[in-house]
Amino acid sequence: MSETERFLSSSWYRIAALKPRLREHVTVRMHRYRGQLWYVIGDGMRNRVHRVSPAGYVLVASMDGTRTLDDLWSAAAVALGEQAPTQDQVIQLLGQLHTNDLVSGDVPPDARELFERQGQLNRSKALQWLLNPLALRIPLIDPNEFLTRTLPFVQPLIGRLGGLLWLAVVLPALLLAAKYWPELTGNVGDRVLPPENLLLIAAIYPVIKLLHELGHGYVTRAHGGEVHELGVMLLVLLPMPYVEVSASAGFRSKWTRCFVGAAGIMVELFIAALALYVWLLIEPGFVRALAFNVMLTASVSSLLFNGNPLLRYDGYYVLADAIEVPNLALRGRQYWSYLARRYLFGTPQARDFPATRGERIWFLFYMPVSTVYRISVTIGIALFLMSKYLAAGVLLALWGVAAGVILPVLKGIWSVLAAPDYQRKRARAVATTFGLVAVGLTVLLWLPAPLHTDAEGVVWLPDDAILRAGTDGFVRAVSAAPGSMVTRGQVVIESVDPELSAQVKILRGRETELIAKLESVRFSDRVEAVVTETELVAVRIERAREEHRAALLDLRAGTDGQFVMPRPADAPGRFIHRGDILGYMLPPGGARIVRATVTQEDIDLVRHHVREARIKLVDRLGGAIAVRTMREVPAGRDKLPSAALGTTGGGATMIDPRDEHGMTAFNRVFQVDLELASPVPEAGFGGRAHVRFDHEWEPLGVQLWRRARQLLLSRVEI
Amino acid sequence: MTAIALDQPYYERVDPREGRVDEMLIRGQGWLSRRMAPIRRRRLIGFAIQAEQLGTAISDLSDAAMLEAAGSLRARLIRNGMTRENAVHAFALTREACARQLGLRHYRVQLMGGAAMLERCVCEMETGEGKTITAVLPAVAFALAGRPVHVVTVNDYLAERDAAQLQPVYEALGLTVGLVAHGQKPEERRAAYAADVTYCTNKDLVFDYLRDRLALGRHRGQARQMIQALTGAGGGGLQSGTERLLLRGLHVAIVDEADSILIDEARTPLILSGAGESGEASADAVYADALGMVRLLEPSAHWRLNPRDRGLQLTRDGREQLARLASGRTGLWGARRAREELAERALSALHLFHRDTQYIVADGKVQIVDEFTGRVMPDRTWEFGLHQMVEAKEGVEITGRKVTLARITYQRFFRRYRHLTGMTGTAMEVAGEIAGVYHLGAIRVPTNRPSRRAGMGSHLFIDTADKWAAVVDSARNSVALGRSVLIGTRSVETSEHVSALLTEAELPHTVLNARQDRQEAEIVATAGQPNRITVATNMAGRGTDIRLGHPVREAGGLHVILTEFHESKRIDRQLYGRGGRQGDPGGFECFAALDDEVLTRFGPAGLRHLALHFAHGANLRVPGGLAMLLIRRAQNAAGRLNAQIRRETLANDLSLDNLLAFAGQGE
Repeated sequence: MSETERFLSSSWYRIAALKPRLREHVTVRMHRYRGQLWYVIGDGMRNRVHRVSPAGYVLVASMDGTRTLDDLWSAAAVALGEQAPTQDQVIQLLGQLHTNDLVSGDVPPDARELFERQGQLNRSKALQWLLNPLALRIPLIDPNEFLTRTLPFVQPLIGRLGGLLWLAVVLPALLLAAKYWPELTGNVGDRVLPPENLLLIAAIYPVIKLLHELGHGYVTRAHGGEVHELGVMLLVLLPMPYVEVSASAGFRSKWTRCFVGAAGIMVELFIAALALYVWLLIEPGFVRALAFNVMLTASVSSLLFNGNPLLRYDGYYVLADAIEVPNLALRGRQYWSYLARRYLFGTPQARDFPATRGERIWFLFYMPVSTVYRISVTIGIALFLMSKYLAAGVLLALWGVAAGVILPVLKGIWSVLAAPDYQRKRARAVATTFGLVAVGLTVLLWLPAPLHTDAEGVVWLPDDAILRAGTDGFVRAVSAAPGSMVTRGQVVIESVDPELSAQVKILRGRETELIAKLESVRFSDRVEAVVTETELVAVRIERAREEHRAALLDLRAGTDGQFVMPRPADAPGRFIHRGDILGYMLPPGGARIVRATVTQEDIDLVRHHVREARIKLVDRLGGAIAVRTMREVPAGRDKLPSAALGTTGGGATMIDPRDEHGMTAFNRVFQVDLELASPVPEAGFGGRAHVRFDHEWEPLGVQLWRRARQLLLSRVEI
Repeated sequence: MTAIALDQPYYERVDPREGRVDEMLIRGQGWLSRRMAPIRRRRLIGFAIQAEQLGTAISDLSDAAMLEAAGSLRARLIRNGMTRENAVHAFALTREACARQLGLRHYRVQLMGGAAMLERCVCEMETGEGKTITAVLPAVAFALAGRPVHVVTVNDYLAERDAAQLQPVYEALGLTVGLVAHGQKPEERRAAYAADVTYCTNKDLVFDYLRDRLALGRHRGQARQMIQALTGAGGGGLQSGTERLLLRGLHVAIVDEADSILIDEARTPLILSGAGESGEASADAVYADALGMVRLLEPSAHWRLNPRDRGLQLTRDGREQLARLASGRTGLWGARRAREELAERALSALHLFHRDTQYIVADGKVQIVDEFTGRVMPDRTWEFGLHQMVEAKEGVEITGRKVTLARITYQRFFRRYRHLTGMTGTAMEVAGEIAGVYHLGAIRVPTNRPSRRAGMGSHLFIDTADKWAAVVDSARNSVALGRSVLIGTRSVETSEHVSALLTEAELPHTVLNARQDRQEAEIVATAGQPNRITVATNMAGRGTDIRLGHPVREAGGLHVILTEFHESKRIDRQLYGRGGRQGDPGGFECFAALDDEVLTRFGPAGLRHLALHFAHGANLRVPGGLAMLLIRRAQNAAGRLNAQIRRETLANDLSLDNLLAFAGQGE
C-alpha cells in the first residue's frame, strides 16, 4: 500500500468520536497572502499563531464541542468536494492546533505527551543556542505591563502625526548628512577606534538598542498585540536587548506587521537624525563627540545588521511580511529539499509543495543567497577576531562552519541513507547524491582548471638604454637632437663641472711639479726621492680618477637607438646629480622589457610555476604580446618601479600613505622583468602594461586551498 | 531505565521512546553483547552445572518435601528477588519435577537456555531440542517469584498441548497453570490469566490486552479508576475497573518462535473491531463500481506497479482519466483524494492480491493467508475497504465494514513487557534488530547431540519448468530410498501446483496448506513414515515434531525440499530444520528458478544477467557460487527492506501517538 497520505486513516478511530472545541482565548483573523485567503488562528497569551487554509478553516470553525470530529469531517467532505481534506490532514491539523494549545477536547489529553513536549521544547531551545552562537537569547522580564501603562505617552507618535514628525526630522537630516559627508566620514577609523571612544560606544549602544526594541514593543502593543518577553541576546557576542513580538504575526494588515518590524530601525534613524543636528550645532567637545557616536551607532549598525533581510533580524521580517511570504527562510529550505527530492531523487512521495508561483521564486532566490551571506558574515567576523584573539576566532569559525555547513550536509547524507522518505528510491537517491559528490570532488580535486596571476607593470628599458648622469655637473648642451637616432658611444649631452675641470688642472699641475721634483732629487736625496715618488703615484691615481669623472661629463648613448629626452630646451644650465635619469635611447624597433610588480601572495606561483606570460599595453590596442624570458629584480620589497603602478598613480598597488611620491607600496611587492618576444615600436617608456602569468593548470580545490591558507596566515599574526 | 507506568491499573512498561543517541547506544550495547557471547555462554554453563549439582541433593526429596522446598523458595524469591542462588534452586527443582512427572530430565543445554531467558535474552536452540520443557525453567522461576508468566505460542494446538503436558510439573511445585484458547468466555480467560503461568497464543493475548484497554476506556489512570468506582460512574456499580479486566498486567512473557512473532509479524496491526454499518446496498455498489471503473484503466499508461515494494500508483494520465470516468458521480467520487484512493485500492485488489496466494476463498468467504506462516487467519480483514473490494472481485457476499475500536502492533505490545524473553530456532540473523527494538540479547545454545543434517545444496535454474522437474526427480529419488520427503512451498497456489506435478509423476503424496488447516496434526504425525511425500506451505507444522519411523531413520531420515527461497534466510532454515532433529539423520535441498519472486524483486539486475549468461547444462543451471551470491544478495536486500519498514512502522506509531495526544492516551 502506498505510503502517501491517505484519505482514510487507520488512526481515525482514535479521534472520530472526539468533540473538539476551539479554546476561548483563541482569535481567528482572515489574512490575505499573495492573493490567497488564509485564516490565522492566534493565541493571545503565548504568541503562537497557526495558519490554516480556507478548507481547513471550514473544519476548524465548526469545532464547537458539540459535534464529533467524524461528523465534522463528513460534513466538510461533502461541502468541499474536490478540496475535501483527508483524514490524515485532519489529524495533522488537529495535532498542530493541539501543539499550539489552540483546541481542547472532551477528553483529557495524554499527560505524558504534554510533559515530553515541554521537555523537547526546552531541549530544542538549548540546541538552538548551541547551533547559532551568533544569536543567543536570554529572556529576562515580561514588559507587557510596563508597555501598557506607558503606551499613552507614546501613542501620539504611532500614527499619522508620528509619521509626519519622523519624516520632518529624518528627511532634512539625510540632506544635511549628504552635505557634510566628507566631515562625517573623513578619517572615521581614527575617530572611532581609540579605546576611550570604543568605551563610549559600548555605553551608548545598549541604550539605543533598548529604545529600538521598545519601538517594536510599543507598535505591537498599540495594535493590540501582547509583548511578554524582553531579554538580552548575545549578537555576535555583543549583548543586545530584544523583545518577543511574534504576536504581531496575527495582525491583519501586512503593513502593520511591516511597521512592527521596521519600528526599531525607524527609532534608531530618528535618534541618529537628532544626533546629527546636535553635532552640527554645537562646538567641539564631549557632547559633540557623544552626538557623533550616537549618530554612527544608530545609523550604521541598524541599517547594516537590523535592516539586512538576509540575516534573520528586523529586515527579514519586514521583507517576509511585505512580500506576503510568511516563514520565508524555513519554507525556502523546505522548498529546496523538496526540489532535490523530486527532481534529483524522483521520490514519488514528494507531494506538490504548497506554495504559489511567486513564493517559489522567492524561495529559489532567498535560500542560497542568505545562506552564503550568513556563512560569509560568520567567517568574516571570525577572521576579524582571529587577527586579535586567535583562539576565539578559530573557535567561532569552526562553530560557524560546523553549524552552517557540516551539520546540514551530515543531515542530508543521513536522510539520503536512512530516512524513510527515500525508502523507495534509496538506490537512486544514494547514487545521485554520491554521484554528484563524486563529480564535485573530481572537479574540485582532480580536474585541472586554468590558473593565472594578473599583475601590472610598466614598459621598462634595459639599463644601458637609460641615460644617467655619470657625475654631478651642469648641462652645457644637448648635442644630439632629441628624437634623432644615436649610435652607441655617441655623446648625447655635454655637461660641465667647473670645479671638476679646475681640480683636473690642479692635479695635472701638481703632477708636473712632482715629476720635476723627482728628477731633481733622484740622485741627490734618495729618501726624498722615494717620498716624492710615492706622492706622485697617489696624485696620478687621483688625476686619472678625476679625468675619468670629467670624461663622464659627456653623456654617451649606451646603446643604439632613438634618443628621447623630456623638455630638452630646459636642460642647458641645469644642475644634474650623478645617477639622475636624463633621457633614454629607445631601442630600434621598440621597447622589449616590461617591469611588473607581483604581490607577496602571488610571487611563489610567479617564481616557480609559470608556463607562459603575456602582456598587454594600456595605451596600445591589439593582442597580447608573448614574453620570452623573465627575471626577478632584486629590489626593495616595498619600492615601486613607477608611480604609475600605485593607487595614487592610477595603478592597483596600495600605496603607503606616508610616502608623498607614491612610490612605496603598503604591502610587500616583488619586481619582475619580462623580456618581450618581439619589440613593441610604439611603446613609450613608463607606459602601463597588464601582465598575465599563466601557470600550470591546477584543480580548483588546490587553488582555493592556497588562497584560504594565505588569507588565514595573513590574518594571524604569528 | 525501565519506566513502569505507576498510575496505571496495569503493571506494564511505558512505551520506551528512544532518541537517536539512545538508539545508537542500544545498538552499540547489542553489538558488544554479541561479541561477548562466548563469555556469557561460559557463565551459563557454570549456572547449568550448579543446577545439576544441586539436583543430586534434591533427587532424594519426597514429592511433598519438594512442594515444601518450592514454597520456601517462593518466599526467598519474593524477599530477595531473582538472585543467582535462588534461580539455580528454582531450576534444580523444576528439573527434578520434570524428571518425576514427565520422565524428561533437562539436558545441560536446556538449563543453559533457561538461564539465558532469565537474562533478557532470546535463545536460539535447534528445532527439536526440547524448547517446550526449556521454557518451563524460567516460567517456574518467575512464577515462584510472584510474577505472572505468559508463555506465548503460535497456535492453539501448541498452547493446549504444552499446557496439558506440563501441568503436572507446575502442580508438583505448587503453581497453577492457565490456558487461554480461542472461543473462551471472558470469565474463563480471566481465570486463566489469574493462574501463575498462562499458556496462550500471541493473538489471543494481544486481543485480550486490547479488550482491557477498551474496558478501561478513557479512565485509565489509577486515580480515575478509584473515583469511578466510588461514584459508580460507568455503569459498573461499586465494582472497581480493574475487576473487569482480563489480564493482570504485562510482567513476564516467554515467547516461543520469538523471531516469527517479534520480527516477522512485528508490523501486523491487531485490530479489535466492532461491526459498523452493515453492507448497505449503496456502499456495496461503490466497490463494484470502483472495480468496474479501474478495469477501464490501462497498465503503465494509467497506473504503474512498483514490484519491489508491491506498491501501485496512478499516473497523472490515470488521475485525469479517473476524473473523467467519475464525473457525474456523487459521494466519495467527488473528492479527488477519496476517488484516487478508491481506484488504487480497486487496482490493488485486482493486481496485487491473488487468490490462493494472499487469500483463499472458503465457505463463501475471503480468508487471508498469512504470507509468513501460510496459515489462514480467520478473523482478520484488510483495512480501508480493501477486503470488501476483494470480496466484490470474487463475487462473494460483501461483509459489512468494520469499525476499528483499538489496534496495536506486536512490536509495540511486546515492548511493554517488564521481562520479555523467547526461544526460537533462528534468532542470530535478527539479533541486531531484537536488540534494537526489544532491548533483548540473543544467544545460541549448542545442540545436545551433534546434528546429522546434510545439505544437498541449492540449485538455481533459469527455467521454472526445469526447476519443477528437478523437484519431482529429487522427491522420487528420496522416496525410492525409503526416506520421507517434505516439500515446502511459499503459497497455497504453488503447493497445489506441486501436487499436480506429483500426481502426474504418479507419486502419492499429501498436501498441507491453509485449506487443510484442520488435519494439520494428523498429516504431520504421519509425515515421517517411509515413502511419504508431504507438500506443505511454510507453516509445515512449526513447533511440531515430524517423528521419523524406524525404517526412515535407517534410510537417511527426512528429506526437505525447498521449492523457492524465502525473503528471509531464517524461514529457509526453519524449513530445513524440519529434518534431522535431535540427532536424527536428514537432508535438505533447494530448487529455485531465476524468476522466483524473491529474485525478481530483490536480486541485483547485474547478477541476474550474469546468471543468464553463465547458465549451462541441458536444463540451464546457474553455477553454484554465482547462485549463492545472487540469493544472498537478494535475501539481504529483502531483509534490510523489511527491517527498515518495521523500524519506520514503530517510529510512525510513536510519532502518531504524539500527534494524537489530544485524543487522550492510545492503546
